Amino acid sequence: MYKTDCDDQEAVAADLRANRSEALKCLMRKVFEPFCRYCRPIDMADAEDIFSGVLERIVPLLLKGDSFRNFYGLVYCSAINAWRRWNQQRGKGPKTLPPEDFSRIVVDFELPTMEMLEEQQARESLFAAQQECFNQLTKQQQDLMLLRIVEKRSREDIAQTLGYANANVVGVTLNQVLRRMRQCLIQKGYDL
Amino acid sequence: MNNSENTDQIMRYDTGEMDEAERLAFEARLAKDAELQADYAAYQALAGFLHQLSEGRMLRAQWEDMRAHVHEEASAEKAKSTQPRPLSPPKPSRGRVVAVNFRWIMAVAASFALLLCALWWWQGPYADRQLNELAAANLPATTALIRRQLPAGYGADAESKAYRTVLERIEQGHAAAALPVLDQVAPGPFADFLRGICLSVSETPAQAIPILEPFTDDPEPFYRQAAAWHLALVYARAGDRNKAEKMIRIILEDPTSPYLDGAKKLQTRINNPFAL
Repeated sequence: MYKTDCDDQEAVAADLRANRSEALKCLMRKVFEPFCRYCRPIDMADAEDIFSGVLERIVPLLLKGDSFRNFYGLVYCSAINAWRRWNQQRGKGPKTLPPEDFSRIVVDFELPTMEMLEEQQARESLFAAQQECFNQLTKQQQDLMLLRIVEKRSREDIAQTLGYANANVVGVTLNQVLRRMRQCLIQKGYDL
Repeated sequence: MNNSENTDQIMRYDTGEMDEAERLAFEARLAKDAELQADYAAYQALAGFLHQLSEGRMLRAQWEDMRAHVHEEASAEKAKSTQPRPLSPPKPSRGRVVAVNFRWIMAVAASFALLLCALWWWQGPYADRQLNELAAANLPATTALIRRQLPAGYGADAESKAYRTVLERIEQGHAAAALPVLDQVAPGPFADFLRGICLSVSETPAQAIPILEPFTDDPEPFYRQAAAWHLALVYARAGDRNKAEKMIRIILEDPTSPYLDGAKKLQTRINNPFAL
């Protein structure tokens, strides 16, 4: 039976890209548990919610990178930042978040440098802007984009699945949606 | 993605719907056409975002499945550890079994112990005060008895004076101060008796016991009654219930004793610390 070597962060990242759930157990043991200890006292349900949000938003961004020496560290720091934002939203944190000093945190993996964190922050900001624009679309438009661009389904197939009149309508709608997304991102300061 | 024709072509290229010739033509145009390059870059950025979004959703779903599994395992483990193991066949029932929560028993026992401690703490000073009141109420009886034993006419000799001083000091509540005066009088049963009485009402009442104890068998009722009463108080203060009872019985045997009322109250006090 295949088992991910949790001490090899590159192997963990590769297994996550390969959709092997064993790698998630490594993240749970190596990152989620220290994260829960850091955030104590925190309700386990809240900790899980914050961390699964990080997995959803941050880990796919990290997996696009080339070097995974600080993979755990980046996930960990992102999770702590997410927890701080979560506290801020609940009115428990400071109004403006000062940069977190991660150097005092003791974990059994290497923490990322400030440059890496800043780079990560920039990617997260772009992703957040894209997500905001995406959320402005209707459910049907969102599904249309995912089916066509991610699943690469044919226009005819999509027309049948989503109830469009024909393949041409799918093409025209998709064009409109992509233009709308791009305009939205330009408005947010991201000229792609 | 301002040009819808470009978008269609980019999407067909990206999804692999172009045939070989069409693909080569598109790539050739992409190398030269700046507008197509910009549209292609924008499309790739959006496609990258959509892939990440999709991967992220999948990752989250996998994570939540895994956590749910971990929670299920933990719950099963907990249920297993709390389930009683059937080590031996159940014993035959001996009537109705009342299920009592052990924690409740412990709580009631602790409350009871606390209550007893509180009562003990409260009862100590209260009991002492009661005994002092009883002793003070019956001290005039003792001084009256002593006065009757003093030489008639309160003689002017030194010994008579000394006895009078002792009596006054006992009446004034300074029994300890009477002890040096007793050293000045000739030794004898009366002097010993007075010394015992003074000690019994002083701060060291235990020293009175060996002195007063012989007087409880004295044929003279005066000695017997007074010694028994003062010893009963000493024993009651010391918590020696049996000896106190014995002294009280000596007093109750004589219906003319001036200590009858006090003895009865003391007896009630000994048998029921919260009465009186």
